[in-house]
Formats: sequence, structure tokens, C-alpha cells
Amino acid sequence: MSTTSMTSTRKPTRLLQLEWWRWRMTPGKALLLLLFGAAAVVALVRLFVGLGAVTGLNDSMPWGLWKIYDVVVVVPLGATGFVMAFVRYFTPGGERYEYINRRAVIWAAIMYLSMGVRLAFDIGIPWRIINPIVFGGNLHSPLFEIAWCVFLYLIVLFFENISRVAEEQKRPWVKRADHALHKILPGFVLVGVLLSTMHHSSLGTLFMITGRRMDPLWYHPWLNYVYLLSSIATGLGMMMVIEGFTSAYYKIKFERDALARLAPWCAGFLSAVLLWRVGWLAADGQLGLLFAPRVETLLWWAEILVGFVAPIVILSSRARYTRAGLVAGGLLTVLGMIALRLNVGFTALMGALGSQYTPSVAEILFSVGATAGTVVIYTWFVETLPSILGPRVRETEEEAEAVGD
Amino acid sequence: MAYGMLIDLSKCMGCRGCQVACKQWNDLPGEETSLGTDYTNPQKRSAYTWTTIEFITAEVNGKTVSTFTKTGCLHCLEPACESVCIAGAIKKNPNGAVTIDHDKCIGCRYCQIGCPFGVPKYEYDQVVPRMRKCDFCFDRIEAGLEPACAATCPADAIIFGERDDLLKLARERIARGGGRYVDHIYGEHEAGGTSVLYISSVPLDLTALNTDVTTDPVPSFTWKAMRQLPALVSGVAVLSLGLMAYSKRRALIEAEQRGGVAQ
Repeated sequence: MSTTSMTSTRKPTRLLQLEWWRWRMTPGKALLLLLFGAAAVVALVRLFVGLGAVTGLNDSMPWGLWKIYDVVVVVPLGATGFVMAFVRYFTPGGERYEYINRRAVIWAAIMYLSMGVRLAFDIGIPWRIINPIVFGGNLHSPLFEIAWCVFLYLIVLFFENISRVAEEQKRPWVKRADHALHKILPGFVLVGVLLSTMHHSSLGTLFMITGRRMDPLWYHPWLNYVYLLSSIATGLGMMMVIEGFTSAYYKIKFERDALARLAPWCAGFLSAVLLWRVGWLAADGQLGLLFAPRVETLLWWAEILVGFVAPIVILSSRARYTRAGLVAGGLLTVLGMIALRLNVGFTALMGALGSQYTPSVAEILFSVGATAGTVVIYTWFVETLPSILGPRVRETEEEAEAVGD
Repeated sequence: MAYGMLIDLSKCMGCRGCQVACKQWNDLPGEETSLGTDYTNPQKRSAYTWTTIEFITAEVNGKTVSTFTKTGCLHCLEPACESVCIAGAIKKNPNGAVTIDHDKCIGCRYCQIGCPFGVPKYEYDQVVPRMRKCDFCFDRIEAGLEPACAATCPADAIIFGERDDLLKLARERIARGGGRYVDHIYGEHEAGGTSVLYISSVPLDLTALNTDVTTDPVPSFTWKAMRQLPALVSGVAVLSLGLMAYSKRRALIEAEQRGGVAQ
């Protein structure tokens, strides 16, 4: 009796008809949260003591972990959003990717928002992070272009995700609005794809300003397209990783067949990048460098073999029809992207700039903790908005809850 | 009026008067320094030391040669730092000076990556840092004065004037020097041309000047990619819409076929 009276008094006061605290703490999540908390402490301390005191940055190495990893790597980790939305809305038979796409766009939204917050702590004056959007800036700067694209893409991601919230509502006008949104959603998706094309390539353009000062092993005259193609491969690869994790953790079906259809595309994009890069080295007459006794040579081969050749082999072979093959192939693709970007940002640049740089412990803790935080936030969204996982049978669930009360 | 400076390295005697004048005029704090293997002190430029004299001692044909190089911002005609600045805080002024607006700078430090001469330096030791570098004594030029370093140089090694005139003067000195000078005006074409020019009587690789630098304007490196964005975006838009139309049509045909089989 008391339960019915409680629900009747409580319901009208709620703005969103959400059962808010569905998220459950587990030891694993607690550990990730601990790391997230450590990152937050580093961020807070950094506000009061300044950038130089917390990081290993100096005039010889102006861009450290917080730029090269937390921006240049994290943005393509969120490439799932535009790649899967493209597959879902523009390719034949895209409907079968509906629920994969839901995971893709919420992950992308988390990565992009997290990148924005992390970047605020990397720039010298954090509260000016929004200035280039508010006060304008320099149209010739690739960074300005990225800032605007990311800002606009966040709006697109909002509309790509808001239906998950709407699906939890019963109000008729919400249903009508959601229905209307679905009609124009392909338009948003198209804008998102175009914005992504621009900023994923511009992340490569960033480093082109160094010209031939960069180490010849990573110098490429069209680094922007190399980055764009590798981010598309990463969008597909990261999806396999996310699906592997989500299906195992939440005990839902692993969409093996749908992902196996994407695998050759992932391998294709990786092959294109690999061929273009090696082709350029040959055209540039730098193939001899591949066997020069340098540390850079080792790093190049590690990147190429582990992050390009291995995923190409796995994802184009029969292994792609297995869960292990897809997850491993996806993970290696992601690692290859990370290796490429760390190598360009650190290995290829530090020699050119004569840099002295070792990331500080606090710096590493921030990057690791922020990454751990994004995983926890992902679980929070998945558990709070269950339609991310798949279609829900709402009535039975609510009946069950009512009985539980 | 695009001003410039001609630095005649053969006249420099390494007194570091320019270094001191720069600190005084720009009110830059002193730094704790240490001596390295040569007399360059401080050993590196910083947010608080915008110009240094770099001392290089080398053996040439059995003779010991000492060279002094005044280092600092070269005030490129097409500055990389200006082109990459996200906030539009860096500007090439009509008078030749490349200046930074501290109220606009957000501290992304992209200019430090872009500059081929490693000129912009950041106040990493500050809680609210600024990007600092030589501003060609912008306020002095506007008031009709020479930059502090040029005004103070007792050997007339730093000559201030209009860049075109300075190029003529440099050519004249090289021509009349009777082989005294290296036949190269550093900064005429380096990085697409700079407002600060150098002539030298010792080979340039014995100076602190960056002889590996490109002669292309550095902003063109990123612009060649940026200017393709409209074409790239249009291409992807056409591809996306075309693919969507194809997908819809294919879905329609498949539905019809399925309907046919069922009947």
C-alpha cells in the first residue's frame, strides 16, 4: 500500500521519467573510479600550480602526453561515432547495425566530451578553452578548424544520442518529438560525417607544419589523409573492441556476423594506409632507413607489424568469423592508430626539435585516469539508458520492479 | 613601411649589449644561469631572454675561428606561428613586427611546434603563463625609434631600416667586401623570407643560424591540406548521399522481391 502512495507522490515531481540510479558499483568499476579520482586531483592541482609544475613540458617539447595522447589519440578513439552512423544510415542493410550504432555514438560522445575537458587542462589558460569558439580565431589554423568541428560535432552527437533518453519517456509530446527527430536524423548523421572527415584529417594536418623537419620514417606529404584513413579503420576496430567488452560484461549477444561484414573494410583501410606510407618511403628513397640501426627503426617496425600487418591479416582471414579474431583484430587496429600517433607526435618530432621530455608521473596518471573515467562513464550510460543494449520489454520490467518494491 | 634588421655578423664583437638592452627595454627578469662549454649565457633563449649572442669556436684550416651570432625572432614575412595560432593572437604587423596578443592567447603552444627557428617561448613556470618572444620593439618602432638591440649595438652590427634598403645594403657590402663575406643573405629566402637578415664572413654552418631551414613559406605546409577541405567535404557528401539513395533503392527492390516470392 505504501509503495503505491509513494510512487504517486513522487512521479509528477520528476522532470525526466528516468529511473536514475540503475548504475551498480563493482570492484572493477571502483578501481577505474579510483584512477579517475587521481586524474581529477592532478587536474585540480594543475589549476593552482600551473602547467610546468605538474608536467614534464618545457620549451624544447611544447606538446606532451596531454596533447598527443589526450587529444590526437582520443579523438580517433571516438571515430566509432561517425563511422558506425555512416554504416547505419547510408549503407545497404544498415538497419542491422542499429544497436551497434547506439553503442558507437554514446562512446563517441563520451570520448569527444572527455577530450574537450582534458584539452582544457593542457592549454596554458584553461578557462580560455572556449575562446576560439566565442571570440573567433584564425581560419588558417588547423587547430581552429578542429575546435569548430569538434564543437559542432558535439551538437550532432547530442541529437544522435538523445533518442535513448526519449525512449525512456512516456509523455506523448516526447514521443512525437522523437519521431520527428528520427525523420531528420540522417541529415544530422551526414553533417556529423562531414565534420568528422574534416577534423580527423586536420589532426594530421597539425603535424604537417613541421614539414621535412619530421623524421623521414613518418614524414608523409599527405599526413592529413593518412590520419583520416587510419581514423576510419580505428572507428571500425574500436567498435569490435567495444562490442567485445559490452557483450561480455552485459551478457548480450556478440554481433559477430554484423562485425565480420565490417572486418574486410577495416583491413582495407589499414592496407591503403600501409601501402601509401611504404609507397611514399620508396618514392622518397628512404627504404634504406627501414634497416638503419636506430631506435626509430624498431619503433617503426613494431608499429607496422603489430598495428597494421597483424590486424590486416586477422581481419581479412577466416578468423574474422570468430569473436576472438574480431576483438583481437580490432584491438590491434586501435593499437596501430595509437602507435602511429605517438610515433609522429613524439618519436618523429622530438628528434627534429631536439627535445628533452619525460612525462611526469602526474601527467601519466592524468591520461590513464581520464581514460579509465571514460570507461566508467560508458557503463553509467549503458546501465542508465538500457535501450543502448537492445530493445526492451518495458512493461514486464516495470511490473517486476513494482513487485520488488 | 616594412622594416627589418640587417645583422652583419662580421662586425659583431660579442659584447652582448643587445642582450642587456633587450632585457632592460622589455623589463625582463634576470635568470639564474650556468656556464656551458662556451661563453653563451644564458645557454638558451627563454620566455625571459628573447635574444642571446651564441659563441661558437671552431677550427678552420688550422686556424681557430670564433663566431658570435645574435639569435632571436627573425620576424618572417609569412610567419608559421601566425598561421597556426588558433586564437589569431599572433600577427605580422605592417611595420614588420610579429607580435603576440596575450589577451587572446589560450596557451595551445602550437606556435612552438610551427616555428622553424624555435623562437616562441612559454612561461612554463607561471600559473597563468604567456607566450613570449621578441616583438621587434613594436612600441619603439611605432614611436619612430630603432629596436633596443639595434640602438645599443656599439659596433653597428645591427642595422635597422626598411627591408628593401637593407637587402640593397647587404648586396653592396658583399660585392665590395672583396671576398670577405659569404655570398649569401640569410633571411632573403629562408622560411620564405624574413624581416631580420644576416650576412657573415664565416661559413653559415659555423654560426648559430639554422642552415637546414626550408625556403618555402612555412604556412604553405598546412595550407596545402587545409585548402582541400571544401573539395574533400563535397566529395564525401556526394558519396554519402549517393550511397544512401542506392541503399534505399536496393531495400525497395529487395522488399518487392520478397513480396513476389511470398505471392
